[in-house]
Amino acid sequence: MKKTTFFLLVVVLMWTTMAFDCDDPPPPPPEGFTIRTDLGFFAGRIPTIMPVGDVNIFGVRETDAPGATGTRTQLPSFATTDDDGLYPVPDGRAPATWRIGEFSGPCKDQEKLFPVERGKTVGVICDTTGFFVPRPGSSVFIADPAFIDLDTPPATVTVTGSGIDATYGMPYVEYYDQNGTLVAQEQASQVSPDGTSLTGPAPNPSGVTSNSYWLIVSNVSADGSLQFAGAVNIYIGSLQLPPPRPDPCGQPLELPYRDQMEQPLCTY
Amino acid sequence: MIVKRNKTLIWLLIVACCVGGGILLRSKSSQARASSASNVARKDETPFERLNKKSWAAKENDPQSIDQLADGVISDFVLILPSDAKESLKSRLARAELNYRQRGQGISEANVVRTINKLADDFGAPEYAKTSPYQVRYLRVSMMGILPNLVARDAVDSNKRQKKVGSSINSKMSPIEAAFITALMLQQKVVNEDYQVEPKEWRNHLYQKNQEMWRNFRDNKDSLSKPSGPELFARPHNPKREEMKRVLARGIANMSSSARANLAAKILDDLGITNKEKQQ
Repeated sequence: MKKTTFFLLVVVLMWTTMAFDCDDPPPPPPEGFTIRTDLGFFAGRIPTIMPVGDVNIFGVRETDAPGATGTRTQLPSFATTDDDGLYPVPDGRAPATWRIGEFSGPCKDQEKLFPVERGKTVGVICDTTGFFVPRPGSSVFIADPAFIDLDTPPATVTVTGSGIDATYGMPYVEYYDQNGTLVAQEQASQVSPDGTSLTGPAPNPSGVTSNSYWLIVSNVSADGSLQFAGAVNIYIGSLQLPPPRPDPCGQPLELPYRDQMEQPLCTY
Repeated sequence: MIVKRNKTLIWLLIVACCVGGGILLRSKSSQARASSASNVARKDETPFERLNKKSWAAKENDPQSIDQLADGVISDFVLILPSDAKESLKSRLARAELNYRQRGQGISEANVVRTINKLADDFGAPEYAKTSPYQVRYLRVSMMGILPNLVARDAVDSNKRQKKVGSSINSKMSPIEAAFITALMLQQKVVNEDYQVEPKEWRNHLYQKNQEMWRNFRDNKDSLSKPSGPELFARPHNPKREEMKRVLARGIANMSSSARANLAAKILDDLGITNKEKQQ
């Protein structure tokens, strides 16, 4: 009897020890894949990206690609990316096409089909470029046309938004290129009484080549200074291939660039 | 008596099984609970929205708003910083910003380039982790329509007047803008394959991207339209992201504890953001 008691005690101790042994690393999960949520701004073709965590996501496998493995074909309810914007899907079926979407944040209720590779991370970027409101309390600014064709340029450009004010003078519409150079500037010819739109001449094409530009609307203040009202990124293009930018370190700089910037470092 | 003892032992065994099983179950469900806890605590504003609001609040230059603005940059955009270093970093940044808004001596884009490239060398990072004035300028311009009261914002004294066509944004930045652009560029160097390009390749890379945009415009110009709302995009797997995370982890692990504690202050030193008290 004593032997039985001793044996049972040993078993109990062994079991309890194993149960407390939670810090041992689990066996590596099946490969699956990882989802990563980012926020992005596309002013031009190159986005600015920032990982964003705590995003509620959903996902369901739509179709398999050849060689697909993994048993998981749907994300669990309340799947949420971690602080780094990552959500591992161990044994997620891949390679495959998954329908992935977000339940929270700026891209709430948006979804898209994403190709998923086994063992890799699929980046899900929420692009809010045209829908970010840079002046709190204002609204999104929209340009019409959003794409200006230099070969058949429009006579006017209309910008809709809010807070556009002609009290101290017609607002200015400035066009900045990717170098931060002011390439064109026009003054509005018309402003709606409720401040939700302006119309003005299309930009003078002489300083403009095919590229994306910031269109910035500024109101004139009582002291004559310009106050930012809103901005929108537009594309101005022609059938002519855009020229490559000169290398600031290898060739003579364009006048405005050289005048305004100190000599850049040429470490390459 | 023997039966009673056996019953006691059996109950002990059952209790031990329950305790052990409960511990195992708890460890598996802890992640789910953390997940649901983070669901409750989730903020809906993006870091850019938060920072933008703070930049507008600081427009009139009151010290408290500038303090909040400095905090906004540090809290949301600085990658790795011990929490005890944040307060001193924030104070220094806020002081420098107040001085700048009175005296207008900004931080050059070249300083941002030097700071980042020095960090890349110190961490033994690949060449694509380095930047150039061209790339820093591109990043600033990308942000100027998003954060107009932080990026490319003229000093208060200069009063924004109508600019001459052909002129450019100021190459000098306020201390908080310089810190923000440095932090944002470091972030792009870690996560964004479009910025993970060697400085000497940046011009070509940008040109290729511009050509893509142009081809899209040329081929579709009769049917182009802007999206009606925020959109999701896929980005392919980026092995450089993993490589940069390893570089960061290795670099920090190889640092002495004093070097680690002083890293943020050293970055501000390299940027040229002084640590002087505001002169009365």
